[in-house]
Amino acid sequence: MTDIVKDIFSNDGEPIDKDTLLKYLNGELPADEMHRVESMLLESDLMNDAVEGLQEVVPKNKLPQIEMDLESRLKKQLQKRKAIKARRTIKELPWVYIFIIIIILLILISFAVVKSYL
Amino acid sequence: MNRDKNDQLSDEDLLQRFLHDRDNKWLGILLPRYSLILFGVCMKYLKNEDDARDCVQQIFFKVINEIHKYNVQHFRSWIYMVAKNACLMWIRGQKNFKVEWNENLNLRDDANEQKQHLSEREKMLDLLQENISKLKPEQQACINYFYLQKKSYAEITTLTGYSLTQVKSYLQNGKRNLEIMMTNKNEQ
Repeated sequence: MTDIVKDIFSNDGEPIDKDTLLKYLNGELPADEMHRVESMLLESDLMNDAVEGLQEVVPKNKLPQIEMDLESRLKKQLQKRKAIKARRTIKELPWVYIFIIIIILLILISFAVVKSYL
Repeated sequence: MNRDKNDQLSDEDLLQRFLHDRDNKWLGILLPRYSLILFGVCMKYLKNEDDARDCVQQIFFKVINEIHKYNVQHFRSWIYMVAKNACLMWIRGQKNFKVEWNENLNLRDDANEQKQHLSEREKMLDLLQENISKLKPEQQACINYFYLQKKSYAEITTLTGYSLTQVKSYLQNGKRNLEIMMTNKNEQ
């Protein structure tokens, strides 16, 4: 009975890893593992929604391909952001150089003016 | 630090590192953990694979560009909220959704984690037995099969004749009712 209390009110369920999730969806898990996954699903609204949605994908062997596609899109998004950031940095650079040159010129002119009066 | 070591980092650690140096490599480790899960959530609400893929991409876009604006303490619950919000906007035809963040949603997504800790478990055993018998018969049956006899959903459908949806619903409602009953007793 202690176990049932622990199971029903447990907070410490581990997250479900992808392999286990795919095996669960394919009905490839042994009964005790299946029960363990379902206990976790009862603890997490996110995972429960995810599994309900993934169960609608037919055939299930498409899922690794879908995952790869999503990750490849993500990679592109991350690279794009990096490129924008880099472009922005390069665009900002000439102003820094121009500013430095103006300062140096001003110093030189001031120096020349001061020297001509001495 | 190598990639394997980074993979061991928690979601919150990865997020903190991203917020600290804004290096996308941290999001590149964090977000793939959720790609399939988010696709599942989007499938549940949108019922279309192409829409679900595009919606996940939209969610990633929002995360990449806007996460720094929010005080996210539990990434998992935050991204779940973002995903549901995105699906809702997608259904309404507004693909460019706004993240609506409520500080109260900084709680963990796990239903249990949103509820108070029930510390004195031993004391609760009698209460639990008493309360299980107060549940509706169908909830009682599903709770007993699932938690006591460790049966899977599929086995319970066979044993009881209930549909899978009914089993899940009886378990969720039974569990919730038990928690309410136990919490009320605890507070008394």
